[in-house]
Amino acid sequence: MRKVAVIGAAMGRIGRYPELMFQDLGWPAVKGAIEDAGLERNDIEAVYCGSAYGGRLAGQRALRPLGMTGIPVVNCENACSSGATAFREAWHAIAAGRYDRVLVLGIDKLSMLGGGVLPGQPEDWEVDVGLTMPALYAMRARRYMHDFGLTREQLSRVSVKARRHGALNPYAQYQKPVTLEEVMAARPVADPFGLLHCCPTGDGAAALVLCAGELVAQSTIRPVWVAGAELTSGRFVTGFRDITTAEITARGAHEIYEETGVDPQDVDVAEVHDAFAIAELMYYEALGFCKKGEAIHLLESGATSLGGRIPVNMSGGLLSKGHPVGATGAAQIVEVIWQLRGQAGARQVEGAKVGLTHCTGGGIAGLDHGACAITIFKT
Amino acid sequence: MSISASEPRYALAGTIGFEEAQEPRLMGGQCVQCGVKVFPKPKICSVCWGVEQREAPLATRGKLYSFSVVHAARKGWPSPYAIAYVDLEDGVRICAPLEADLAHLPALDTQVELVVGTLRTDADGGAVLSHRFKPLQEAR
Ligand SMILES: [Zn+2]
Repeated sequence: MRKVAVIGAAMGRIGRYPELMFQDLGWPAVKGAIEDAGLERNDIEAVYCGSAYGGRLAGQRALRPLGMTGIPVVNCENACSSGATAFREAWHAIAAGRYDRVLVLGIDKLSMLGGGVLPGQPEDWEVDVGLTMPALYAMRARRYMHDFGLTREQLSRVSVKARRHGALNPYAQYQKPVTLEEVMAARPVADPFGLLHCCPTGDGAAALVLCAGELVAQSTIRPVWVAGAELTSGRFVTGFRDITTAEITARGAHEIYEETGVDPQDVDVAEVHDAFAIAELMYYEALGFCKKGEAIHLLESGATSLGGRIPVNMSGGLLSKGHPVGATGAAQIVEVIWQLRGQAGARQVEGAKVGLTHCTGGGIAGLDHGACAITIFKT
Repeated sequence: MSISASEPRYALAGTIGFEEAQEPRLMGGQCVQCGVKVFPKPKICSVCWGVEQREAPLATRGKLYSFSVVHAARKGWPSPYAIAYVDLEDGVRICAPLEADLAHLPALDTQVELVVGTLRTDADGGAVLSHRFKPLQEAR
């Protein structure tokens, strides 16, 4: 397997852009990433595009305005992990020697779906009796609170932390901090969650240029190396299972730590899939940042805030930066690339050398989640 | 095209059966080859690939594993409503609407029992029924 580096990264501010065409949401990120890499469009040999709601040929539609046509375009759908799945496939294609320079695009335009709760998966029996994605996570939260004594006030601190960091990120959908009182009093969505315990829906695109290690010297930019990119899917369990444990994430984390030799204690900065406040806490545990049941203490100690031992979601995370589903994995990677290059501005983690991104999602009855993608980068 | 009032519409077709005493049962599948019980009844057993599945009435009682009161519902659903995971006595976990007083919510692990009731109203104004669980009333 060849070494692979990321040499270009770009994204637009996540938000709601109902007036923008899908293609016009996408091409600026593509152009930005190629220019960031110091390349020209003809240098790109293939494109991997992740989108969950973009419909057919999302990649080709976003590339056409740039005249980037006539090359292989692979469209990947894996719910929240679509963008990260595209990245993993692109990394593997270069590592295996198929291509030297590849572009990854993550893109989704959720404003096309109207507002409110995302539509459920057709033919899913749990959806047919009233399960929604916020309700699923709310049930995880309620059980976690019951089993580990977490309070609603503590849960609300996750949202306060997210918005505090999102306020430092010009690419975030929400850039205004919130108080604990505001989180606690926000209108109910799925008890115990109020509106500010849930990520917003939004529109966004993020792009990356990957390059084979031996060609990196020709690049003008400091490379960030891909240590590993792990993808796994949920296991179907017919009986009882503990929904306070993020099984798919814990399994994926174990695999990538084995594969890369990186220890959770080595991670300097991480972007994790905090679609709901409880998720960030569950993922601290599943990713090995702390022991089971102790996540809130890690957060309250300041360890996961800017200046702490393991800053998590300096971008604001999904709760503040926003969650354009299929773009999210690519946007997380853009943030970590910027962090490892020292380009993250007011939210920069000083001296960050090892970064991790994690995204997981896609509700299917009987599975923890449909997909989970974890990536580790090194300077 | 209309469905008569005497033919109830269920959200999940074929999942509600009635015993002789007219007590409703939630019907799942049990693999003839390996015995695993799954709800709803599958066409193939995910454990052993057995394709022969018998109709299996599931336990009518279980424990409330977790629940949420949904305020932001999808279009066409009345809200708020409570949705739960119930762990049945025979080892099957069921996602089900919870029939409870939303002002006095039950504790987790409370014993619950099966009832059948209205889930929502469809576009024609007809009731759509489903399995539901409600906290078990202690015998007085
Ligand atoms: Zn079987």
